[in-house]
Amino acid sequence: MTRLLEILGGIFIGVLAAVAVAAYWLFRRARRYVGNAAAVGVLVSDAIRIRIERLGEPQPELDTDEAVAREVAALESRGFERIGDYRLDEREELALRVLSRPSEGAVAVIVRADDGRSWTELYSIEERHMEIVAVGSTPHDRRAVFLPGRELAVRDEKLDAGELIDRLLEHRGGGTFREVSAENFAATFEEAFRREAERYALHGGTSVEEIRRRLAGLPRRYTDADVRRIRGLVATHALCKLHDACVARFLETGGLSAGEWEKARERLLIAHDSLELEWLQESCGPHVLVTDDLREALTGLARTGLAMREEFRRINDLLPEGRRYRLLGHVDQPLRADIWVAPEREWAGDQMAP
Amino acid sequence: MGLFLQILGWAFVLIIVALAVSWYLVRRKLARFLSDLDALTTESGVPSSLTLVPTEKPAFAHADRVGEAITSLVDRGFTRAGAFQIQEMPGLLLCGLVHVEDRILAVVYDNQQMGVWVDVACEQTSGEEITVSNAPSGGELDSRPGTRKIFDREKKPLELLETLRAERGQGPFVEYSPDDFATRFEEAYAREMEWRIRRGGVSVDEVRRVAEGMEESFSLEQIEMAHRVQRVQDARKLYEECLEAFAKQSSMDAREWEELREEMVVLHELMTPEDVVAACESLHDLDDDDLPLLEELERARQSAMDAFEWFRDQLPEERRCRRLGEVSKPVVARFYVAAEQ
Repeated sequence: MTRLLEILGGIFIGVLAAVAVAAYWLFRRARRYVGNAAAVGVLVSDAIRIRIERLGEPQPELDTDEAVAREVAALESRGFERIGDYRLDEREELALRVLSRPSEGAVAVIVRADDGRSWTELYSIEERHMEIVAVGSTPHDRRAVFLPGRELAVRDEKLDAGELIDRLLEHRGGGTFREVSAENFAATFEEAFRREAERYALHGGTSVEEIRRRLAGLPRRYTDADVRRIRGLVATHALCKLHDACVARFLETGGLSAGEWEKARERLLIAHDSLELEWLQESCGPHVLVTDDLREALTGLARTGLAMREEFRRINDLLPEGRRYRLLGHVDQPLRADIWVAPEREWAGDQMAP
Repeated sequence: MGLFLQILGWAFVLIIVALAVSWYLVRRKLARFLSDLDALTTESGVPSSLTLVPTEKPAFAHADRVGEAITSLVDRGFTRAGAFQIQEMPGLLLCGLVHVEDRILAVVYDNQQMGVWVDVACEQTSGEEITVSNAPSGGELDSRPGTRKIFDREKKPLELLETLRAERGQGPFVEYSPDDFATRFEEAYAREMEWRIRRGGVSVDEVRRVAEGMEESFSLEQIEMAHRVQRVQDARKLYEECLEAFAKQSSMDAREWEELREEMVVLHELMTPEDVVAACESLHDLDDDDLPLLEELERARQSAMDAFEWFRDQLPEERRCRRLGEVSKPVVARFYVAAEQ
């Protein structure tokens, strides 16, 4: 008995040591996870669309900021003309003073955050596909204003407006760029943002190289494992954004009344050929509502080799009548997708029903 | 060293035993509490109205028992009024029957989980209603004034009919025809729910009676908790139904609706003064100068919606929230968005 108690005492010491090590390890892991998730917020935007509001009066916080005044003067000396002050619905904390040099297809956005920090971003929008080329003195812990998922071609807090112009011209190369004026600034940049957001979603999110480049400027050191995990989070985020983009496009096509939409909006399943069966099995993300019947049908089901939109139709036909998804419509952009509505949940008795 | 290890050994054994016992107790208590809460409440809330959808080939879960009940009633002079699905309760099917001569309605229900049950009912021309039912639940709920409900799970359909005939009084009774069965059913349900909503939803006593009818025993705390949860779920359901009703009558298309939906604030006639104050704050950019107005609003004795309108009128026009519209069912509700929207 004495011997047994001594052995148990030894085990107890061992257990205490193991618990301490495990707690330390878990704490570190949790801290890294939180840090990685926060990095995603610095990398990408949740918005698929933005609304740019032109402000009637010059903004006093921009007028009185010396750094802003210096940047405006530098830009005006290079032929830029002031086109107005703006705000974004997506980032209400920012005030924007916009200048343009239409003949060059270049737009300068001087940004002032409500914490007093300011910086300059220069944009050119390629004429045909509205691809954005941008450089900026944007701080490393801030996202570029009009790039929802990509990194600026050049990000250097030390560059002034004059140097940024040179970098933009150097980086964008030849090609035709949009002429932006006070009349078309909001519409042009809203559309460019939408296309960028859709491209980001369609291509599965920010690339590993861009993530690395972006994180390099942050004070925390990120290991290769962190970058891989962040890339995984970004890919999931991109798929969610892809579904949001499909829904936004679907609503733009019109034809659906508010009443029909209100009944359907919480019960959508977006099926497209980039969707993996595993996503349906895990039922994760917005607009992927998987009913119990569908989950059951998916259990142990192997892909037949059909494209996913066809595959989903086939699986839906396997469900009992009355519990199948109803096809609400299709979209062709940002990719071809079918919009399905899940059946209502079965009534399973109710003690409180009269 | 040996003695030290022995003391640690004892401590280890005691800690393991204590952990095992507390884990078992906490887990059991928690699982029980959650399942009890689940049993006493309904997750989706109770709909304020029902829509019967005629179905040609009803897929009954218990076809034999449904057929048996219908045949016994048809043999007693009932006419079939059709089979229906209930749009708001997928999975619940019903068959309507009408005894035209005796002015009695019968409903045979079928559900996978709940089984088959029958209601027989009639209504005096003075408005008094009586229902006799062998439903597995429902008897625990209060009856609306002017209505009487008799529940007996053991009774066969013909016994229910006998009881109805014995208890329904002298009449005269309201006439029914197979063609108006669906309308009558929907109206009766809506009347019942309107009364339930207006009196403030489910009562603690009703939850207690439901709990007493179950095999397990429930503490007072559990019943009160279930009551609170049910009230929240019913309030959410009412909000969703108001929103759905407004969407249905709105001329907006889906895109416009989606843009405004998250910004929309719903105010309905059953809201409390606290709800109204919260709505005022969320819809208007208020500053310190507006505080006296808010205090006055809290003391207001008008209905929630009148008080809100009064508050809105006190603000300069450019700060006033925008009224989008109004619905009258399931309750009178108005829809607003902030001025800048």
